[in-house]
Amino acid sequence: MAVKKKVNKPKAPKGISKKVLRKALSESGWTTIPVSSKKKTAKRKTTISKKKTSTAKRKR
Amino acid sequence: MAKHSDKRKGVFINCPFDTQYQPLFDAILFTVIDCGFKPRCSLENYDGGSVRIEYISKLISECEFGIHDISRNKGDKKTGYARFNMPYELGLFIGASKFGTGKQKNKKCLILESKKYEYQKYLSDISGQDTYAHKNNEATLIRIVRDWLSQCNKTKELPSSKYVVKKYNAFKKGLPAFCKTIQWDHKNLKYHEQISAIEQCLYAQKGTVY
Repeated sequence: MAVKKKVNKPKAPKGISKKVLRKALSESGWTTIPVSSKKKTAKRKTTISKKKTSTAKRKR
Repeated sequence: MAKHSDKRKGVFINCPFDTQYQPLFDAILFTVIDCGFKPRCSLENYDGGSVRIEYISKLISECEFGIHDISRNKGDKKTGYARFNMPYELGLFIGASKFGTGKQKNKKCLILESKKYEYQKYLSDISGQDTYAHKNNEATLIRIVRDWLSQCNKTKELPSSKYVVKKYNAFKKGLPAFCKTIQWDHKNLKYHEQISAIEQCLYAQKGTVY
């Protein structure tokens, strides 16, 4: 049976953005998650209704 | 550098900090972190104003475990002198466990050398204590350190040395590309950068099945 181990997420090195860090991890081959992969939101099934104008604008 | 929220047990690392020893030092750091311990060594002190031995004593008092490599016994090619820092710090560590009180009594140490029983020629006073020979081989060193940490900490299971070695090889392979992207020189990493790279690598490999 595989050993279950709790690994805390390490802090990114100072001054390195998350985007650059993700790219570095991807290019190193340490992770199989590609750089561009972001959490995709589910597609909307209904059409987006028109944004309502605020009450302040309507009063004018 | 020490975080108060860090609950990992500290492992004091006493070894040469030169380029020749660097691959073995990397292997020790990687194994200690992968086994869930916190490596501690004098390199984490950046304060040039503090007295070095004061900081080393503080580290020794804070760490229950110590890894001591006394393999560097030959004189330097340029100066002809051998460095005695490692045997000196080993003596401090053993002294703390012998004469200290409370948790200092629980100290455990791993003594490393490159060839088995070579210490008898230059540090015979430690005869009777177990030493382990790494033969200047990273995989052997990883196995020794992992097995010793496994004996020290019986509360949790550690990954077998075979897997630690695989992860370490992947780390070494990917380090140049990782460093290049974040504009670090992989051949000249500072101690905190080394630790950061290892932690990032281990976290990225978390779900990897070998």
